[in-house]
Amino acid sequence: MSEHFNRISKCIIDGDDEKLPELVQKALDAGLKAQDILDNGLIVGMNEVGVRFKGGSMFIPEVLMSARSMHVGQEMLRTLLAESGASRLGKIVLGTVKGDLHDIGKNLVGMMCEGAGIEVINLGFNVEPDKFVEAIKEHQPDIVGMSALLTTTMRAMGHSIKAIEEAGLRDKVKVIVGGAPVDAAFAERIGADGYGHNAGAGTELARQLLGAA
Amino acid sequence: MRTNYRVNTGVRFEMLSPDQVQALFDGVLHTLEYTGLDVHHEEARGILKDLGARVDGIRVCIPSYLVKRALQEAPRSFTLFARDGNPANNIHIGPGRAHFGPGPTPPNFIDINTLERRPFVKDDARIVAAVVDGLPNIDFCESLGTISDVTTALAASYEFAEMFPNTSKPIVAWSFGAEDGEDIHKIAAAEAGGQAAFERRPTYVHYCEPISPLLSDEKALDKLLFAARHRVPLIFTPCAIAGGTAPVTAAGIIIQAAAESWMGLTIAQAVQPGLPFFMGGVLSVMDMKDMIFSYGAPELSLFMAGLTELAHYAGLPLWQTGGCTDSKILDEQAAIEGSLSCFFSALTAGDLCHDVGYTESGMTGSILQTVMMDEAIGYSRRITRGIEVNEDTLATDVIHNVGPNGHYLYEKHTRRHFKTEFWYPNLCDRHNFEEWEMMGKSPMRDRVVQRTHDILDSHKPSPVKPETRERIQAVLKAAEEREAKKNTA
Amino acid sequence: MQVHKTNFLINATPRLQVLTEDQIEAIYYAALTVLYETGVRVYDKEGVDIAHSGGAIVEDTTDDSSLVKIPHYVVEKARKTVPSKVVITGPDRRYRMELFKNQIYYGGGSDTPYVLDAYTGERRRATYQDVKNCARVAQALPNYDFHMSLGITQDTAVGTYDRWQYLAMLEGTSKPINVTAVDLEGVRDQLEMAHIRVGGREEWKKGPIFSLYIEPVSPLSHSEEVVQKLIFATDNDIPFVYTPCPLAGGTAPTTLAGLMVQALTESLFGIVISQIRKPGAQIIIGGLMSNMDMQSTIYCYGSPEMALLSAGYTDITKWLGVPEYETAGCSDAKLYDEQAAMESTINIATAGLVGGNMIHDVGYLDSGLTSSMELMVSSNEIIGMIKRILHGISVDDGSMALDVMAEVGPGGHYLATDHTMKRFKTEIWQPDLISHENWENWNLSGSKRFGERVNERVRQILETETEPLMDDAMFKELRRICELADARHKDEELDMKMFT
Repeated sequence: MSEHFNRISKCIIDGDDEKLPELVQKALDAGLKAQDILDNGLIVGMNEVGVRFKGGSMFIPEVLMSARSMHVGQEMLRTLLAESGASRLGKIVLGTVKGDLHDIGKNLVGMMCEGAGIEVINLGFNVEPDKFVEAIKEHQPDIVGMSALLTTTMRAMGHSIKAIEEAGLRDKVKVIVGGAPVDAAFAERIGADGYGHNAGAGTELARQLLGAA
Repeated sequence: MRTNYRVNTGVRFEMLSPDQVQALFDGVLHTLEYTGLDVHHEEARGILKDLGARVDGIRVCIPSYLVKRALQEAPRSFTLFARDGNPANNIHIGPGRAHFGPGPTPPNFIDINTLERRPFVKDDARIVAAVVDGLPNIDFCESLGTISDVTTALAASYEFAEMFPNTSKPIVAWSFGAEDGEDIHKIAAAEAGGQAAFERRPTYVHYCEPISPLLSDEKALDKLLFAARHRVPLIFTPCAIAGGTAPVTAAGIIIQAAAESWMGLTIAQAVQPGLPFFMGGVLSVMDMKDMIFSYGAPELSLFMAGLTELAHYAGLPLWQTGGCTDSKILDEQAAIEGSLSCFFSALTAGDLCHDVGYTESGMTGSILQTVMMDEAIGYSRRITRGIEVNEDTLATDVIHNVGPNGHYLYEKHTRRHFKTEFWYPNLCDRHNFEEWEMMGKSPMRDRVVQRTHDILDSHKPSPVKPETRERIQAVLKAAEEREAKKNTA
Repeated sequence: MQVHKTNFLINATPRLQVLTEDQIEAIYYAALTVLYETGVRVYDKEGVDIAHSGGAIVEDTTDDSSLVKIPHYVVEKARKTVPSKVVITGPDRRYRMELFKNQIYYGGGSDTPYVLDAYTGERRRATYQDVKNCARVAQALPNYDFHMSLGITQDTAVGTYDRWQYLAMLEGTSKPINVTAVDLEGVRDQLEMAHIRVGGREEWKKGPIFSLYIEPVSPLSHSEEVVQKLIFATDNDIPFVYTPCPLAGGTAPTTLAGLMVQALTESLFGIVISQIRKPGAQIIIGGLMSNMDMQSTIYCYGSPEMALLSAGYTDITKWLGVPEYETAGCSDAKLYDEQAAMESTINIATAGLVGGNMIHDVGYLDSGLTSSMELMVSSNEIIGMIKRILHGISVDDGSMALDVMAEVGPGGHYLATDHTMKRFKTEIWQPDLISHENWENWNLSGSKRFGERVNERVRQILETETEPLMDDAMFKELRRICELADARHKDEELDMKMFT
């Protein structure tokens, strides 16, 4: 039984998103429960990835492939997990704010969140305040994450939060912000719920806000 | 596919035009033939006279055809071997490669625990060798000091005895004369398995100096002859001061230094045709206000570049100088000056670059400086490696697949290349501000000290053979007895 | 006897080349392929129309953008009219930059959110005074040829910071400036300010006193703002820098050659549009190109790849015959320390050796987020050292000194010879802040580290009274433009003091 879990976690560490579905299927066929596959296969693998990344033996491109494999695995198990009553970790809407076309950082957060089991809705760049509001209505996320790379476009974060307030939705979501010129003080001033100083920190913040262990 | 494709592998740097190099070359021959040098060594003068040089008292003039013959015989490419046979630590001397190491003889050392400046002692030689052995971008070893807590005349012997077991990288050794030169040689030959074995795979280089301007003293030539006769690769290069012991101009100091070197070359090749030989030296300016020989001056790099191109034109490898500073401590000036000369050394690809770790204008050796410069050398080597341009690296299909507004983080192409395309620092901090703050806000100098200790604590050099250990003890004992006899006699 | 040699070819300076002509061509033809097969996405209708009118193919048009594909004959046509030399002066016309192949000029970088306080060492948000201070430091440093703001003014209205920033720079320096702009209106306002500063529109026409920095987004994306700025600059004879900031591994291929292909594609788009709009439009290309650190994800300003890419791209622009926007004097260190010193030394050396024209970002720390006046002062000294090396080695009878060597002879010395006396002042570089003191003297003068001496110099510059660069009337006139801009945009500001 542990053979299956070992193979799956190794596949996650190797970041082989093409091989993973086959291994997950094999495990399911062998009668293993979706929750166990998640906990002892996928999550064990991702945890090891985290350890190796912190220790400096794994790098971002490799981590992202692991995250992608993780995501593939979770998608496969989603319906089964829902049937058994296990709920998803949560949902996050991400966007680069109005006037700003830079989104590599935000995309990094998205990829890492997916790897952490969070459902990600990516609105892209140059997102108007109204679009954030619409997205909240449509997707009912737990968290809204905003990104900006320029000091001038940072203001749009404040405007977007305001738009969410005016739509009466502010208490329905947590808002987190990030981007090179952003800092904790600014996040506090515009009434955000949190700030991530890089993609990794932003993902960790999202996980914490969702009550993850 | 595309044909007729000529590429740079590595960047192309050029200080002098071919015409300028030729002019310098002719200038050296002119100086040797018409000005000549003072050779304070009877046997050496005899060798030169027999060869065909004009000897008048101690003044020797060498006709250019003899110099050219010696240049012809000296090899451009050869190998210096790691004493434990590990090929990764061999040094292949030849076009396009730059190698780095510390330097010899400063009286002081920066204590790696207290960071204080104090006299250099025997254990410091061990520390330097052990750290050098663990640094990825340092290729050979010198001790960074003159040992002060042993019998004075045996400082060089003890130094080699400390370094040799603590690093398997090739060592550049110096001695006061032929006697202690022999002490050193016995140790190396023992580990190699005898003289013949050593000659096949030399593991150390002997360093000696003519005196600028245009003079060779007795002791230096004693050592040169000893090294030549035992086929020990030889460095015979001056330490010349522009405006003091050499002309103040770059062309002038280069010509003089080369003339001083090639006088030794001619003798050495006569004694041992084909002996691996380095010309070079330590060339810089006198600061006309503070009266120091400036190891951090931009002229050091400038002179070195010109000298390197002359050497390579003449068919000789070069003994360069770099990674050194006039700063008294491990600070930003030490980083600036050391990085500058390391960078130019990498650009000129001249062959062995020493004094990486020299501070305070050569008065104090600091293995911390060496550790910091290891990073600068890695950095420089990435630049001189250049840019590879081929179908795979041009990546037009990858660009097409990613398209406008896409990203490359998931691409196989990225995964395939990111480890080899980028340089990964050991000391340069790449964290963002918040993380750096959380980790203690360290400036680089703190990380340098930490890394030095980490290497010393965790890296274990390969040991010498037990027989060699015994040999070392025996050699030192005999040397002490030899010195004692001299003092009582 | 004949003294002067014939048939003697010399290197008057050292030479550095990263790419051979064959390699440059490989990159160029690959960029042409990408420009035609992949295309770029353009978010400005006017820009799309210009491209189309010049022969480009327009496809896949959505609400806000089109894919523009440019055939190579259109590029070759544009190359014929793009100027190989661009001249920018300061309000003081003695400060003059002639940007063409191998002419080097060093200067600052713009829009850093933070500065390192010279007195407390603290990293804090940049203010108007900081921008003015950096400009004053630039003015005082002889090896600084042009300036960029080295700080975003965040104690002014944010939406109109560009005007205030320009005003602060004009207060501090009369050297050429490379400005940024919030939007087209910001460019217009700054142009009006420049007209006032230099003495009228006709004076500007004689020679512009600023260039405009325009940055499209990688990969292959040209926004409405960016294209509008390009068109405006072209129409109004404002030299402009059109440069993306591609990130190897993130927004550009991981391979350095691939990144240059993509960057060149983006640069060529700028060349094509500007030349179709107005043959002879003064465009400068190049920029900041570097790698993503694959552990921390930062954009590396201090990496060897940054220096190498900048140098390689310089080889390309030399071949194209277009001025280059190079990058140097910057670091990923978070304070002015040995890392900042090391990274800036090597990248300054690389840029000078390869011959980049407008070498910017001198003074940038922390991956372009923080400016440091200490790094400015330190870099000034480093540039001096590099320039000494760039003067090369002269090989002639005088410098070879064979006669002098014969006269001094073995065992002699050169200290008092004519040869030395005549030349030592030009041959030997004089350090300013670098210490050549011996141990005793260094201890007597306070055992200072270099960073301390640099910091002292920063304070000295800041505390030295200098003649105002403009009179009060002119200052008020310029400030009025800023205030009017604020008034027009006050509704867009957040209703609290955002940063300070």
